[in-house]
Formats: sequence, structure tokens, C-alpha cells
Amino acid sequence: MRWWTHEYDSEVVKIKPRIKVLDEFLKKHESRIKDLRFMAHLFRKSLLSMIGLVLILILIIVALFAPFIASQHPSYVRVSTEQSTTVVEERWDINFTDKLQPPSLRHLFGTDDFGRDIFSMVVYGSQTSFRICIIVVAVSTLIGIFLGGIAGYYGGVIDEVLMRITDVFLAIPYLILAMAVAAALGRSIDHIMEAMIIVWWPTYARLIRGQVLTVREQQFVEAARSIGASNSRILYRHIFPNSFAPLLVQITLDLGAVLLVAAGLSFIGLGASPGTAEWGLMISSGRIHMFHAWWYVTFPGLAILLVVLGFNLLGDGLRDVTDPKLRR
Amino acid sequence: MKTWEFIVRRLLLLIPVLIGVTIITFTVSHVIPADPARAFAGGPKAQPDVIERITKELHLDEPIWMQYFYYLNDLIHFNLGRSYLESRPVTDSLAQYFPATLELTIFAMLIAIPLGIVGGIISAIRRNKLSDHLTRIIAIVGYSLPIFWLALMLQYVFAYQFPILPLEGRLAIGMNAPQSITGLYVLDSILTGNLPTLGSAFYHLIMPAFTLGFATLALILRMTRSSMLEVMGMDYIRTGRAKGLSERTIIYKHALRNALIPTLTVTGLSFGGLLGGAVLTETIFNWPGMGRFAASAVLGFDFNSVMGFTIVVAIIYVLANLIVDVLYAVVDPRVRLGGG
Amino acid sequence: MLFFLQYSSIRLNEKVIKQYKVYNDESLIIEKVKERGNIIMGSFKKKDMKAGVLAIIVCAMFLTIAFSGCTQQEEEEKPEIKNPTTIVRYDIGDAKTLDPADCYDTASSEPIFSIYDTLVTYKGNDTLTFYPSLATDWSVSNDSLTWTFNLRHGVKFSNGNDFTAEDVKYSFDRVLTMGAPESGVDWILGQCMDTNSTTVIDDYTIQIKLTDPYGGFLALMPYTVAAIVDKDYVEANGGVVAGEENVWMKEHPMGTGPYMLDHWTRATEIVMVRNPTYWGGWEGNHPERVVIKYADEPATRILALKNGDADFAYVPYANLEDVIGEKGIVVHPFDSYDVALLAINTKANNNEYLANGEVRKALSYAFDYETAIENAWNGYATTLPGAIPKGMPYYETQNNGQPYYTYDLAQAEQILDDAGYAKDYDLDGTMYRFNGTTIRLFYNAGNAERETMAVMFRAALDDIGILSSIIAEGWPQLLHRMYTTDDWDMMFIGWGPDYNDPDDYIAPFMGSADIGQDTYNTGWKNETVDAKILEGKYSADATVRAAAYKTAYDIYIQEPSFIFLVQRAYIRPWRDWVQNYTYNPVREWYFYDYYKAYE
Repeated sequence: MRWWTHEYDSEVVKIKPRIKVLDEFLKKHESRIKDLRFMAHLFRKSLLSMIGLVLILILIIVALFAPFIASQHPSYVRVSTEQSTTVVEERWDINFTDKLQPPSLRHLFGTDDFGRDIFSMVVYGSQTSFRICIIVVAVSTLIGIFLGGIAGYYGGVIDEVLMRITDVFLAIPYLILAMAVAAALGRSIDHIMEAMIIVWWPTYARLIRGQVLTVREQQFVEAARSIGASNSRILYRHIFPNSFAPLLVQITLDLGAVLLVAAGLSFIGLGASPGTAEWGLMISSGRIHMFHAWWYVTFPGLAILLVVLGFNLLGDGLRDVTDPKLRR
Repeated sequence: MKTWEFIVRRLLLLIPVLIGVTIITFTVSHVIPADPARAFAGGPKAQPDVIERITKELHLDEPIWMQYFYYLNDLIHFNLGRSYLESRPVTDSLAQYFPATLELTIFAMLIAIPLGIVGGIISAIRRNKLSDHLTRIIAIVGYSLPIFWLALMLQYVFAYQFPILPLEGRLAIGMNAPQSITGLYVLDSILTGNLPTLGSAFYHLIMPAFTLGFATLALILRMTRSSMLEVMGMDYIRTGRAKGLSERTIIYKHALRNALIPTLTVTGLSFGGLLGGAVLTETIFNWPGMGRFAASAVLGFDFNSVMGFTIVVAIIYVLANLIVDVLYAVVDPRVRLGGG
Repeated sequence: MLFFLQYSSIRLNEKVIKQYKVYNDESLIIEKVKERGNIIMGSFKKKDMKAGVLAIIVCAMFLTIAFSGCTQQEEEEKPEIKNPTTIVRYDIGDAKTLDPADCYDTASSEPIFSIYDTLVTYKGNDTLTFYPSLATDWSVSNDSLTWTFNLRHGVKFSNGNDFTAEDVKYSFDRVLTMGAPESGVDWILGQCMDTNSTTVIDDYTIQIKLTDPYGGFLALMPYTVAAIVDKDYVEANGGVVAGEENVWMKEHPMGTGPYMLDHWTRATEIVMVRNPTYWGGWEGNHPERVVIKYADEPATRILALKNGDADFAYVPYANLEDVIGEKGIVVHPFDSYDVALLAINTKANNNEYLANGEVRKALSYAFDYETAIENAWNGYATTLPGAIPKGMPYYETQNNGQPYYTYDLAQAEQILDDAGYAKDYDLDGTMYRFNGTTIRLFYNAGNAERETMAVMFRAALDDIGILSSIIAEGWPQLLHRMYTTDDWDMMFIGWGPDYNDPDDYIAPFMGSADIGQDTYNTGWKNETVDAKILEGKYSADATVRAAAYKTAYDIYIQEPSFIFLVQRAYIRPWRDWVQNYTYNPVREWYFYDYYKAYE
């Protein structure tokens, strides 16, 4: 029984299926779809959540269409560095005659100490930021789902061992552990991503484990088990779908948090190699020029702020609509 | 006593965690190919005999697991190795820098907690009014801000454009540190009755403490607001209202006490964020604390120092959480200690 | 001293460079700068045009008023001198030790120079003349092996003990016995001395018998490692243990110098106060206190200088714009012996292409020296023909002091083509040489000038079709690559003087491992060059040395193992109320000589 049915029934739009399979699918998941539609409705009503969504959409658009938005473009050079691994490096043209120009129509955000257009670098930087956020969160989530799921479902010794391991990782503040690991691996974007995955997975493992434990005790899982459903079936058909909402919220919020930590690492000097369009790195190199070129540190910082704000607003909005306790 | 049992149990549980931390830091510091012996010995012009001797001293010629045991053994004797950047034992460095970080963190907390709680309450009471929207915006911006960028912007505005606050440091130039009793300048100058120093120490704390505390402030603000709202909707509050208690009594006597419990937890957890943020804040404000030391150690690849810092921070962090858990039980009698 | 890890750098207005080149007399330039300082600097920039026009109008108005005699022009008011009896210096990088026997870095040597004395010393900016300090005069035997020093009478250590010849012998033997466990700096004395070398003749005479007739011996004596400690004091506080540092001496220095350590708070400040028993006396103007503050943030140091809290500040080259033109701040470059180099790994098993001398020649043509000077060093640097920096003896033996290589990409490509390394093209049009082998450019993370130069050099290499990549790492990692795994291609490095003798520059770079040199492990080796370097080192005859160094250079530069990037100028902007400041490349900071006043 859903407590909101009275108020919402009238707004349900009748679905006109064209294909039989789709029809069946929709029928089978009717309640879930209703749920989603209601959440979307709530979400739309919240101004802040919509701002978050818009900010993130802008980020995605800027990242996807960077070549059309920016006025200066990097070239990409394939080089082999360590143990003949080949990587593609970003190269920006240097133009010292244009260095440290204040914002103007030609250079919206001014230029940096190599005469590069900061606006273009901020635009292309969105790609880097996006890549870092997505990869770190996706990989940690996968690891978390795998280990957390196992720990929660099987319990016992496996659970105990895994949880003690996560304890160890969680006993060191994020930034500090990431800093130590990234420093050990050496300066590169790939390495800060690896470092942050190492730091981040325990959070997800714990989250999933908690969800699994809660869901596992619920009646429909008991019921499934009693009719002889296999472990994996229970995991994939019942437990994971029901853990999805809190996971999604956590992921959205973490996308912002990951960006902040990554930028912090770059700022200390552990991230991207010099000359790359990466926001934290740009602030770091602009810092020395702060008093005679304020634009150098200001705009990349604003970009970070807006994107993280976007993820946080979006995450909060999602939490509000998916958590029945907060839905009032 | 139940509380004692709980504390002892938790302290014992700390041991495996800390061993785990040492394994992580040790692994991290040994995966990379580096030449600490030569770095210690002075770099390019290092003399071979010096390198050889330091290699022996650091047990770099022995297998890795043996090195780990030497490391653990040293650790038990409070020996964190030598910092090659400062060319003295890491424990000496940390002992010197710790009070500065402690002072900064305490003041960050002193800014974050009262402001956060008051703001959260106001926001909850005046839900959907202007002040509510304002505090919510502050809160959400607060935990979206890159702390290092905030620090730079504050410096630009308040120390450069409108120079009303000092740019950096703990004391004005030419002012001597108060006689060291605790190492916290504010406390020391109060204890020695040194008013000018006290003023200067306070004045220098404002910007870094605010920078560091801002994210925590935002977190506490949010937490207080939402738990306050939740509590206000509970039956016993409604009962109170029905009984005709004044709104003040309801809020301050009944709602607040329960609403603050989650805030307490968040405060404990945010301590880790503060220690992490200290690395960035201290670097920018030239605050002679552990964080700045760690940042320069990371860049200078002084791994003994990085490891020492990580372990100390882990211990502080874990202990802080333990304290919060104990307080939790004190504040909320419904919480039974145990579990783990 | 050894490798200066300074973080960043500043811009020299062309005008000033020209003036600087015209007047070789330092004092003249200082006067010039003081006179016109702020007007010269910072003008002639496009963005300041408007301000310039405005200034001219304003000036014209003032002049009219002044000449019409209507008003009496008030003298320009100078700001009040802050802390008039204290010299405050803001710098980066804390001292590591205050024990002269184990000090091998600039930050540590600065306080040591004020706390301790050496037998002989330098004065002002003169690096060629030796002045008496604890030794009043000295003589050398005909075979250049035996040196006799007559010591100053009536000198006391700051704890009241008398200074005698015993202390001198003890100080030198201490360095050689202790072996500088932390830094290895004892090699400097060890080049030509052992514990039997020093003999006490009487209380005020000491004799040193060199193990080798090293031409640069006297130049070692003003260096910190040759500072004189008090025998009784050291013996009472840990004494000398071979291969072990003296923890007490590290933090509690005590010498005959003008200042005593008041306190040293790590990573924060070193404060020194007057030594009342100083033999030089305290008549005249000398600071009461000397404060060296450590602040890693450039912004901090700049603001402190601007508001007068700092009398001197280290301002990175990129930040000089923030202080040039500021009222009351003098920005003036001095010749320093600090050079920036790009080391090349010439070992064929690492990179067969770099092992070819022609390729290294081409790379030397591919570095844009002038642009680097203008942008990485903001104009405050000059080109460098070879290992010996300008100002040191025998500089002229290197291509008459002119750079051998200039920026010429066409020439570089020509050399590469001639050597058989023609261009190739990828399917996507990327140009490459060396079968696509990437050259890795390393530098120590956090060094802004090296970063700029690396980015520039990479862009030039892109242009001539050499694939390259920049890698920033920490020192221990770089050292590991360089000395243990030999896994590096090119590395940006710096070199500062240990003492004022060209051997300290030629041998480490141009000498091979066979004569215990090749300090950066480049694998470079040429027997003739080695022989000439040794010939130069162990000769006291200037013409012999010059000829030897010239021959060595002419051979070396044809297939260099280093790209000689720049020789940077030394700049510590200072407040105009500081008097008597000048810079000496081999012995910085005579705080005793400075004072604060308007003149």
C-alpha cells in the first residue's frame, strides 16, 4: 500500500504500449514506473535540484562539445613513457607575447603565463574532470558492490575480515590517504585516479553491505529464499535493485567529492603533468600570479565550485525524492 | 562499568586497525623506486661510504618483510625514522608542529560548531523563510567549495585588496612566541598574561580557522537543520504543543537535545575532513603545523615524514571517533554501548 | 649550495639589463637604481601607457608650479623605518643544521656565516681577493703544498673561551674525522687534507700540509665547512665520533662570529643577536638582531616586503612584477654563480640516440635560450657558454665567453637529417624521429622555472619531430633514476658554488667517472678532457690552468653531455632603508655590515 496513491493517481498518464514485449514489461514494472514518475515530479518541484541538474547538464554539454566552444585547442601527442606504455598527452600552444592578459572579448577568462587562453583550458578541463569523477566513482562502486555484496550476503568470517579492512582504510582521512598513495605512484592524472579508487572503495563496500543486510532481512527475500531461489538470483533480482536508490544518491554526491579531492591533489602538485588543462593544476600554477593576474586562479576555481555544487544539489535532490523518510 | 568496558573494547579494536594502517603506509612508501639513502647523503655529490652506511642504517639492504618488522619495532618505541628534509627524527618534527595544527583545528571547530548549530536551528524554525534559504545556500556552497581556492580568494580580498587581516603566520613579525607551555599560542599567552601576543594570535587565527572550518560549518548546519526538522515532527513535540508549553521550552528543552545527537556524530566524523583540509589550509596560510609539513614532505618525497604524519592522523582520527561514540552514550541514554 | 631547489623565479626590464651591462661597477648601479629605481622599472609597458601619459601631465603640472616659485615643494615623505635595529629577511626553505661540519645547503650556511668565522673571508661583492678574518696573514711554500697562517690575537668565542691554534686544528680534524654523516660535505676539505695535515706551531700559528698541490686550496677556507669551532665547547657537548652527527652542535652553534643564535624554531624562524665579545667590535652601525623567517608562499614574502615587515625577501622570478615599481623597494640583480643545466644521459643502453654526440648537438640548438631567459627567468638571467659561470676565473676560456649554441631549429633539423635520423610520419600525420622513441624530460616537482623551461623545450622538440614527455618527480625518485636504475633521458638540474674555483664547475660536469667525477652520471667520458681537468686542478699557474681548461672545453662542447641553459641573476628585493647591502656569490649575507637608515 502506498501512502501517496490518493493524491497522485489522477496525474498518472495512461501508457499506450505499441509492442507486446514493452507492454508486458510496463505491466510487470507498473508500480516501479509509477514510483519513478512520482519521484520525477517531486524532483521537478524542487528549484535547487533543478539548478543542480542544469549545472550538470551544462558540464556534460561543455565537455562533449568542447571543440566547438573553446577558441584554442590542444593537440594530442602519443608518447611512450614508462615501460613502453603509450599514452596520449595533451599539448597547448605557447605564445609568450600574449601572456597574462586580463579577460577581454578575445580571451574571455584572460590568458595564463604561457599565453594560453584560460577559457579554452577551463572548457577542456571539464573533460578531464568528468573523466576523473566518472572513472573513480564507477570503479569504486563496482569494487564496493562486489565486496560489499559478498560481505553482506554471506556474513561470517568473510564479512568480518572485509569490514576490518575497510576500517583500516576509513581510519585515514580521504585526502591524506589519497595524498600518500598518489605521491608514491608519481605525478599523473591516472595515478591520482588509482589513488582515489583505493581510498574510495571502502565507503561503497560498507554502504552496499549495510543495504544488503537490511534488505536481506526483509520478507520478500525470505519468501524468495523459501521458494528455493538461488543465492545469485536473490542477490541480482532482489537485493541490488532495492539498494539502488541510496547507492545512486551516494554516487552523485561522491562525484562532487571526488572532484574536490582530485583538485586538491593537483593543487598540492600531485596531479596532472604541467601544461595540462586541469582545474586544480591551473589554480596551483596561477597562485604565484595571484596578485597581478587574479583571473588565473579565479575562473578554474569557479568552475570547480559550480560543478561540485551541481553534483551536490543533484544528490540532495535525489536523496529527498528517493528516501521515503525525507519525503514529507 | 559498562562505559569502561566499551572504551577498553574499542581501544583493543584499535590495534588491528592501526596495524593495518602501518601496512598501508609501509606498502605505499616502498612500492616506488626511490633512493632514500642517497637523498639522505646529499644527492648527486653523495659519497659512496656515506650511502653505504645509511643503507645499512635504514636496513635498505634487507628483504622487505624484515624492513617492515624493523619499522614496526621502531614504531613501538615511538621512533618514526628520520626526516631527510629536516634532517632530524620525524617524531621531533611532529611534536613541534602538532600544537599549531591542534590550535588551528580547535578554532576551526569553535567557529564551525556554534555557528552551525545556531544557523541550523534558525533555519529549521523559520523553515522556508528567507533566513532558511540563506543558510541552506551557505551550507550547500560550503561543502562544494574547494578549500584551497576559498583560502586564496580570502587572501586576495582580505589581505591584498582590503588589507584588514594578516596574510599568514601565527604571530605578527617581530613578536616573540609566548613561553611554550602547551604550544597553543592563544592558551600560552593567556597563561603568561601576555595581552599583545594574545591579540596577535587571535587575529592571525581568523582567516585560516574560518577557511578550515567552513566546510564543517556547512555540514553541521545541514545536519542540525534536518534533524531538528525531523524531531519537530515527532509525536512528543506535538504532545508538548498540545499541552500548551511555550515554543521556546519545546525547542530548547525538548527538541534541541535530541536533534543534536546526529550533529555530534557528524562533528566527530568531520574531524577527519579537518585534518585533511589542514594540509591545504596550512600550506596556503603558512601555518607551521603538521599539514604544511606533510605537504612539503609529499613534494620532497620525504616518505618517513609522510608515513609518520599519516599514522599520527589516523590515531587522532580514530580516537576522536571513539570519544564521539562515548559522548553519544552520555547524551543519549537510549544508546547502549557495545555492538562495535 | 649544491642544487638549489628554489621554487620559482622574475623579470628584468631591458633597460636595467642594458644599464647593468654598461656599468660593471656594482656600486654605481646601486646608486643608479636608487636614484631612478622605481621610475625606470615597470614603465614602458603597453598597459601602463595611459598611466604614463597621465604621469607626464601630472609631472608637467608640478614642474610648472615648482618653477613658478609659488609653492615650496615639500620633501617627499619616506615611510618610517620599521624595526630600525633589526634586519628581517624572508626566505624559503628552512636550515637543516647549524653545525658547520655537516652543512651543505644554502639555507643552513647563511646563519652559520654569521655565527662562525673562518680563517680567511671575502668582502663585499669581491670574490677574487681573500681578506683576513681569524687569520691575519698567511704564506705558502714554493711547491704550493705548505700553508702557514698567523692567527688573530685576543679573539674570544661567545661563551668567553679564547680562540687559539688548537681550535683551528680541532675544527679541521673534526670535519675529516666525523665525515659529515648527513651531507658528505667533508669531501671539500678531503680533496687535499687529512687529519695529519694540520699542525699547531704555537698558540697563534698554524701550518697546513696539503696532500695534493690543489690550486684552489685558499678558496676552500672561506666556506662553512672550514668554520672554526671551540674545542672545549664541542668536547663538552658530545665531542667527535667518526661517522656520527653531533646532535648538540646541530642546534646549538657557538662561534667567534658577530652574532649568536637566540632561537631557531624549525620551519618558522632563526633569530640571532649580537655577540658582545665579537672581535670586530660594535662601533658604528650594526643591527642588534637578525631575523630570518621562512615562508614558502611567495605571496607572503611579497606582502611582508611591501608593508615593510621584511627588509629582504626572496621573490620568485615570476613575481618580480609585484614589487617592481613599488615605493621603497629596490629590485636589483647581481651576478651569481648559479647555473641551470639540462643533463643528458649519454649511455647507449638507455637511449641509443642520445648516445650520439650529433644528436646532443642538435638538442643544444633546439633550446630557445633567449625566450627562456625572458619568460622562465623573467629577464634576470644570461646565457652560459659552458660549465664555468661568468665572474669566475677562466670564464673566457669558453668560446671567449660567447654562447656556443644558439636557438636554431633549422640547424638542429639539418644536423639530425645529416646524422641519418630523418623524419617519419604517422598515419595521422604526427611527425617523429628516432623510430618514435620518446625522450623523457625530468625535473623536480615544484620548481617553476624548470617547469617553464621543460614546457618550452618540449614544444621545440615537437616542432622538429622529436617525441618527448615531461615528468616531474621528487628528489629521491630522480636520484634513484640517475644513480641506481640509470633510467632517465634528460634532467633539468642546477648547480651553485661550493667555493670559488672553476674546478668546482668543470670537473663535475666535464670530468668522467674515471677521475671520480661525472657527478650527474651522464656516462660522458673523454680521456683528453680528463687529463686536462686534472692538469688544471693541480696547477697553481694561471696560464697553465687557462690553457688546460680551454682545450678541455673545445673538445667537450662538440658533443656535450649537458645543455648549458642559463646563468641566473641573484635577486633579493630589499627595502631602500637598508644600507650597505651587496651580494657575494660565494659568501652571502654579511648581516654585520648592514644597517637601516635613510641617506
